[in-house]
Amino acid sequence: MYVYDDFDEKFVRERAAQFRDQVERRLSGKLSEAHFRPLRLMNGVYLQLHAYMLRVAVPYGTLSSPQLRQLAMIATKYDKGYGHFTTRQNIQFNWPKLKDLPDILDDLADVGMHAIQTSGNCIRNVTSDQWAGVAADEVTDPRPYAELMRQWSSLHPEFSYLPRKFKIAITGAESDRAAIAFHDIGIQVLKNDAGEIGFAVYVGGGLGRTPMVGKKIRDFISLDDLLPYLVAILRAYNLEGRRDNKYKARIKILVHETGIDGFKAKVEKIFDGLEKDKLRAPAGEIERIQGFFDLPNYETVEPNPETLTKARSENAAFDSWVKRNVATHKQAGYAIANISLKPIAGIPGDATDEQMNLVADLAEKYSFGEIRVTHEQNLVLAHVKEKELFELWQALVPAGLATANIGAITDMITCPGLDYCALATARSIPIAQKISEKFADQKRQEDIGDLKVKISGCINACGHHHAGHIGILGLDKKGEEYYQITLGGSGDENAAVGEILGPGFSGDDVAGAIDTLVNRYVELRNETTETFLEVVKRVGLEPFKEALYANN
Amino acid sequence: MAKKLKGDQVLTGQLLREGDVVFLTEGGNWSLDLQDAKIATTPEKVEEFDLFIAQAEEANLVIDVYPFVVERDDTGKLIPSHIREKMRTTGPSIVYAEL
Ligand code: HEM
Ligand code: SF4
Repeated sequence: MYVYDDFDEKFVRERAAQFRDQVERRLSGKLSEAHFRPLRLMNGVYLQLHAYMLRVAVPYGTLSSPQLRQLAMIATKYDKGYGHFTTRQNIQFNWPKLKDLPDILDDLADVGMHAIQTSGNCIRNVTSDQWAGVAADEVTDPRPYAELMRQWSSLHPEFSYLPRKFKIAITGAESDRAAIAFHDIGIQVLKNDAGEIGFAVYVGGGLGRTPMVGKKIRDFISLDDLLPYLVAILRAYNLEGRRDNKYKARIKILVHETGIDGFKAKVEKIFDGLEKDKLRAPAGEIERIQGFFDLPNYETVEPNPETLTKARSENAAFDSWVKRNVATHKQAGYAIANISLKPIAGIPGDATDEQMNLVADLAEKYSFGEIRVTHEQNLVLAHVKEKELFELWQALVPAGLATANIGAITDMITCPGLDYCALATARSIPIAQKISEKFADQKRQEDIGDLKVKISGCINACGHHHAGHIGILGLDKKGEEYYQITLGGSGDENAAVGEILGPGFSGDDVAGAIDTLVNRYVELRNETTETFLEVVKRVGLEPFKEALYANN
Repeated sequence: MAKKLKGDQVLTGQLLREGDVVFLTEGGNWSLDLQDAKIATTPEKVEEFDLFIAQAEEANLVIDVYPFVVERDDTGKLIPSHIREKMRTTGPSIVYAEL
C-alpha cells in the first residue's frame, strides 16, 4: 500500500492545522459563512439536511486495517456509530459537529488520511478498479498511475479552480469495473506489442443532468507522455469550459459542443506546444511508487483445495456466497472475497463501527491487512487463500456481512437521497429497501442473475442511475416524491445511458414496477444465461413498456 | 422579498457549531422543535423574517436561514407542507446506525 512520504505527511498536517484555525475564526465570528464555506468544502465538509457531513478520501479505494479502524473510531467518537461508503470509493460521516471537525482531521492525519480533493472544482480523488493488482483479466495494476496522478493533481495551482469539478478514473483491465466512460477523463492501461505500458484516454464522460459516455481521444499514450497529455486536456478545458453556467461547466459539455474531433485538435495543439520534459514525472518516480504496490508475498498453496469443495457441498449458503461474491485471483490458490454492504432491506453502503473493526481484523488475519472500497459501495478483501474462505465467511455471517448478492438485483447503488442530502428531490434509500425486500429470496435472485439497479435522489445522479440496467431517479412533483425508471444503461466497457420508460411511479409503486420488469425479462429471455441487459438490447424497450403500462 | 404568500411560514436554519436544524421562536430564540416556531401569517410578517436572517448572520450562531411553508395536521400539530422540509424536520425516515 502506498505510504505518504514526508512531504505528503507535512502537507496533510498543515492542512489540518489551517482548518483548525479557520474553524476557530468562524466560531468566534472573525470569518463569515460566505468566507468560510469554500474553506470547509476544500476540506470535505458539507452542510447537509440535518447536520454537517464529512467526506473522507480513500484514494483509489485502498485502505489499510489501521486506517479502517481509525474510521470506525471516528464513527464511534464523533458520529452516530456508522459511516457510508460512496460510489466514489470514499466514506462519508453524516453527523459530525463543526466544533469536532478539526480533531477529526487530526485523527485522520494520524493514519495518513484526509478529506482533500473530495469537494470543490478541483481534480477529485482518482478512482480505480477495486480488484486492481489481483484481477485475473488485468494488464497491470493501475494504482501506481492513479497515485502518480494523485501527486500531480493535489494542489496543482493551475487546476485548483477549474470551471467545475473534475473526476478521473483508471482501470488496468478489459472489464471496466471503474465506470471510466462516465468520468471527465477515463483511462485504460494497455500494453503494446513491444510490451510497453501505455494508456487509452477517454474524455467528456459524466452523469448528472446531461449524461454522456466518454469519447476516446487517444488510443495509446506512452507513460512518459501521460501527465503532459492530461495537462493539455485540462488546459483546453480550463480555457474554454463554460464558467458562465454551472450546468454547462463540466468538460462533457465542452467536448459535446466542440465535437470530439474539434476538441482533440485543440488538445493536440496544446500538447505539441508543451515543454514536456518539465511536466513529466521525475525519473524513477513511477518505479518508486510501484514499490509500494508490490503484491504481497503469496504462499504457494493448492488451488481449489478439497476443504473448499467440501464446505461448499455441505453448506448451501456458503456455496451461494462463493458463487456470487468470490472472484478469480491472479495467483493460484487465492481468491478475491467481496463483502456486500447491501444486506436485505438494509441501507446500501452503510457500515457500523463494529463492522468496520471486524473487517479490519479479518483483513489482517486473511488478506495482508488491506481493504478495498468499490464504487458499487461494497468492500473487498483482495488476497484470501481459497482454503480460508470458509473461515472468513463464518466470521462475516454473524456481523451481517455475508449477503451473497454481489452484482445481483439487491446489490443496488443508492445515493443518500432525501434522507440526508440537501439537494435531493426524493428519497432513495427506502426505495432500495423495498426492492431489496421484494427480491430477498436467494433462489430468485440467482435465477435473475446479473442485474444492476441504481438509484439517485435527484438529477445530479450520484447514484449512477443513468448507468443502471434499471435506473431509478427520484423527483419532486408538486411536493410529492415520484420516480422515473430508465432501462438499458450500463457502466462497464459497453457503457450506455439508460432510456426513460414512461410516466413515473409513486414511492409505493416502484418496487412493484421493478418486479413487473424483471418478470417480463424472465419471460423474454431465450435461456437462463441471457442477462437482463442482453434481453433489453435484443428486444428494445417496447415489451417492457407494455408490461408496465398496459393496464393504464 | 416574499410578496406572495403561499401559506403560513416559519423560519429555519442550522446551528453553526453543531449543524442541528432549528426554528425561530416567538421570543427570537432558536428551538430544535418545530412546534415552538414563530408563524408568519401575512406577507408583512414573512418580510420581517429578513431582519432575523440578517441578525442570525451577524450573530454567527445559526446558518443557512430561510423560510418554509407549514400547515397543521388533524391534531393541530405544525407540519411542513413540502416533502423536503418534512424530511429535514423529522430526520432520516429510515432506521440507521443499527444494522
Ligand atoms: C451527500 C452530499 C452530496 C452532494 C451535495 C452531492 C452533490 C453532487 C452534485 C451537485 C453533482 C452534480 C455535479 C455535476 O454534474 O456538475 C454530483 C454528482 C455526483 N456525485 Fe454527488 N453529491 C453528494 C453525495 C454523493 C455521494 C454519497 C456519492 C456516492 C455515492 C456521490 C457521487 C457522485 C457521482 C458519482 C456523481 C456523478 C458523476 C459526475 O458526473 O460527476 N455524491 N454530486
Ligand atoms: S443524487 Fe442528488 S440526492 Fe443523491 S446524493 Fe447526489 S445530490 Fe444528493
